[in-house]
Amino acid sequence: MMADSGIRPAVEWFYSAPLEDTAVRRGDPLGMRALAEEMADALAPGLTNRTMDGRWISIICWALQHSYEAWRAFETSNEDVPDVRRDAARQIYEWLRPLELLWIARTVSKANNEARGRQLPGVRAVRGWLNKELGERRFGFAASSYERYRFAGVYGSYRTALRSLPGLTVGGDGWRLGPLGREMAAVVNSEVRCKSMHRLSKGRQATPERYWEQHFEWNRGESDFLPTVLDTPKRFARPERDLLRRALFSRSGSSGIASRQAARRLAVVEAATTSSATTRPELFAHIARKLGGRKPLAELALLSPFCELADAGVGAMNACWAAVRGCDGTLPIESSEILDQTVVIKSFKSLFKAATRWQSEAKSYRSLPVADALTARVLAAENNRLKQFQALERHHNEFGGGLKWLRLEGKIITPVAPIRGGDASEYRFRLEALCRLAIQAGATDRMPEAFYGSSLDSFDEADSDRVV
Amino acid sequence: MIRGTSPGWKPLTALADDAGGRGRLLGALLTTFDPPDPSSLIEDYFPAWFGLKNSYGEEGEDRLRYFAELESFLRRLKGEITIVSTAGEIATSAEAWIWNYIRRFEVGALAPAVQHAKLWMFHRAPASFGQRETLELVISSTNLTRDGLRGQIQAGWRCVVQLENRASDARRRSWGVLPEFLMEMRKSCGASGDKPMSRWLALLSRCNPPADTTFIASVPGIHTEKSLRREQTAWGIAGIKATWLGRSRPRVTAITPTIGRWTSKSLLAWAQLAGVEVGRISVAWVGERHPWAGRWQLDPSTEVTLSRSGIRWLELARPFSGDWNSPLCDEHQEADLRWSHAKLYELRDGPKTRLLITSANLSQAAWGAPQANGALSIKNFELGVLIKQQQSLSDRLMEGEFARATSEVIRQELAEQPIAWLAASWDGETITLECRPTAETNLAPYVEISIARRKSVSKTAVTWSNEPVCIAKIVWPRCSGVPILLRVLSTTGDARTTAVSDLRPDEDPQILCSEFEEADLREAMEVLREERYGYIPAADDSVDGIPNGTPGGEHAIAAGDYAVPAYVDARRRFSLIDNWWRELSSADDRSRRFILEDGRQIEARWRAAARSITDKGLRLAALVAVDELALRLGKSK
Repeated sequence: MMADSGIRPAVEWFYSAPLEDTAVRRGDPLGMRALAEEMADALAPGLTNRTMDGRWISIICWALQHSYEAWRAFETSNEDVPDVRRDAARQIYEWLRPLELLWIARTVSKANNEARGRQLPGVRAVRGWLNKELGERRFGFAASSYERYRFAGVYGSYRTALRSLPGLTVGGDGWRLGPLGREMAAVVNSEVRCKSMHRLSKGRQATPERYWEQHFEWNRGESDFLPTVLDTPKRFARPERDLLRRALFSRSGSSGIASRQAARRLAVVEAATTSSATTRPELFAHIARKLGGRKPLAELALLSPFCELADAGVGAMNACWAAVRGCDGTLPIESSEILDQTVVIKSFKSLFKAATRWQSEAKSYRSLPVADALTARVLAAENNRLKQFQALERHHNEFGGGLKWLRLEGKIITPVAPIRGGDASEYRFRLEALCRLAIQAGATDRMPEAFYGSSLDSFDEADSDRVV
Repeated sequence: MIRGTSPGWKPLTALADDAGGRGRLLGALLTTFDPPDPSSLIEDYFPAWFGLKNSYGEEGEDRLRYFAELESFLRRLKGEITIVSTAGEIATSAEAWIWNYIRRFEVGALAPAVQHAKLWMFHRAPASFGQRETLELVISSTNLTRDGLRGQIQAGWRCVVQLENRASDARRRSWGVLPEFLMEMRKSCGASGDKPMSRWLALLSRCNPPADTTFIASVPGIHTEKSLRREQTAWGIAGIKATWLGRSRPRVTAITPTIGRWTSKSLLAWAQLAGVEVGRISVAWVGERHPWAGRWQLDPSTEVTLSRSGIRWLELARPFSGDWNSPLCDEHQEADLRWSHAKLYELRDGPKTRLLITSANLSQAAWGAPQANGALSIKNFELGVLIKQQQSLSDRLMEGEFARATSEVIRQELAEQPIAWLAASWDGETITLECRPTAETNLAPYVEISIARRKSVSKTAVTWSNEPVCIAKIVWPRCSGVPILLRVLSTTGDARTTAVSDLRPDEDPQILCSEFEEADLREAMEVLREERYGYIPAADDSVDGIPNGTPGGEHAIAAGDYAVPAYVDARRRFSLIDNWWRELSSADDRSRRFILEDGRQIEARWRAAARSITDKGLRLAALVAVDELALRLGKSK
């Protein structure tokens, strides 16, 4: 039946392999991510929620130093490079990525408890590589995931800091180490052995992956100089502690904006760690008051009611979701089975309270339509839980992104997402990450009480270990 | 690369990883059972298909850049991506803006139909100068849903063929049933589906399929014995029968996660039409304790019927039960929590063994129910491909008695929704609505329209025509906003939402992704446009709030460097112009339009930015570059 064109086409059949980055989360369940980001910028500028371990800042500076030098030797014949362009950045990253992953391999090999509880993006693939279960070429990654690691990996997590914290990279370009970055790299240099002089050799040049496997002794010796356990942040030893402190909080030698950002970070840490608040909204209210003198600082004034509303919204969604999961897949589910559960009743009460607070406190500030819309719907539902559920469902459908939630048809509730899908993610405001860095930098000695027992559920390590 | 015998093991988002350079995507046809999940498209499929440089991120600048790049690509591909599914609700969500750029169709415009085929076709530009356009086909078991991507194991077949410049009937015929399958689907999508679907038929006329490949398809309807005898319309089980050589007693082994309801009589009639004895049919299934048991569907009465009819059961090994061997392939791990959604049939005909990779479950809805007059009644669109196979699937399956997993399956006979089929399009002046309600449904005299970047929904009166497919027109000028979703209601409160196809030929100035401020997205798009041609402003520009499109000033020069900033900046700008010119000179007609537009946009941006540069030298450098760009734009006419 089939004719041959004379040109041999590419043909194959296949089974679908699992995707590596398989955390199932509802990324932005209430459509409030952009607002949360804006508020986080006022609280902890120059960082992201993923900038959570100061050790990685030191390590990534070290990795940048080595990869930049290797790139210069092998790709530019040691020419001077006035600035780093797109093509150059791509090439440098190709030299950097194996170092990131070899540090993850080193951590898995050397740390206790299989290195759990640390920020190790891609650890699942690397474990497979170490156990020789997954492909050798790219540390166990499929080609597309390896490509995406630029954004999902360590460098992607710390790029904002490398560009924003003064002195880490030249002109904030994120690639060439500045004076402070070089000092941080030197700290790591004293902990590990890696070839630092690179020369072109005759014959075929090794790929960056093979080159670093040969020249970075990643598996050598015993060491506890590794990415740290996130739950129990500890003050670093000198000089790493002082360098991190300079990067985050020093105002001297910085330009106007960088200096103001450092001052804001420090003021927020000081305010946070003197607070006895036990919840995030209380803590944010305390910080806003402290920073504003007599009355809350205008740009942070809505943070507390916003956080309360967002947390309550996500809390109600997750309470309903947990109740549906508790039905063990028995369908159909009567709405009363879910909405009459104590935990769900409590969560909707909290949501109503948070909406009432938002309505009263937000009216003197600029309108934030997404929060206003949720508030209006929840308050219009009054104390009727079925209507409150509908209000939340409608808001989620209209504004939310990511995995879908539950659907109400008549009096029947149906899960729209796979039943084993994850919970909706809480909105974060970088404060937890900032406080952890501050402890490591010796700027404070304790995490605010409001973060005790907080879950690291949406962090990289958990993501990369979860299988779907 | 020909891999006819052993399967690859690839993530669905990386099917082309080893295929070398791919040309720019010019268009795609995607079919799915469930309506597509926009999150999966945005987060996973689009970056892979479009070859985006940025990756989906959860927060910060990366996220903004990702969405800016994504929307830029979608704008360029507006109307070139077509997705066909079974009739179903399109959810309102923050991601619904993408539907403005994509043509969405559901089957069933004329009569009830289920779209169950999973066909992806990608039309790509030449990978490099002098090469040809390509057509990539993927036929698999994958629906465009999150579970389809992450929760299930799929089987698929993929080929990439080069397109000739001229079309011919002979080439089109060489694709067997596939062109006729697309024509039937085109009819089922309604009048508005005509043009987008015809493009793919035209492409099949410009290429031949790989050798030793046969397509097996089903289309809904009652098909006469005569039409089933024609090669191009041998639908369903008639397609299987047509492949037997007739020299031996063939055997069939099926591995599918769903088995429809069968009686002894229907099974016998079906087997006769298929040209295979019931006793020579083997079915692979899972035992009661297998982790896939809750997913694979077989009702107890059918299990009894099949067993009594003499079907041979083969067991799929249960993970962590001793000496486990994957029923699929070596790469498949015991700890893989996904369940198999693959639909595979091994056909043995004497010494010849072939493998059918398809969307069709072992059901009469998929393969057809034989009628007394020799006709075949089919409910679903299904598509599969038959390839040569040397290794036997049966080698990975276990023989012997086992307790099969069964569950009471609630099968909804094809009960149509009150609003059975729906389509909407907008040409910049009028929204045209087409709707097929069931006989007993009356449509409400109003609809609800969701508009891009607006939170409220517009309730608008409509007058429906009195035909089987009701039509309504709504005057909707551009100043009313870009309509994204449209909700039609019945007088009894039933409702359906569909995406509005934007048929305007020109680019809308509005950026639709509502997660970010329009100005921020526009700025990020401009920066990406410059980066595409190799111009990168100094990295700290955005950090210090200097508007982009301006030089990096003192930051662009490292301390201790004697370079003159104006020269450095001029060199960077001229380098962009050279890169842009080079791309323009080697572009095909289709890309040329976009590259020229890029040049115009960059010129306007630089000209505006030059006005705000205070340093005389830098300003002059910028203006010289702008003049050069303008000159070349003039030349390109």
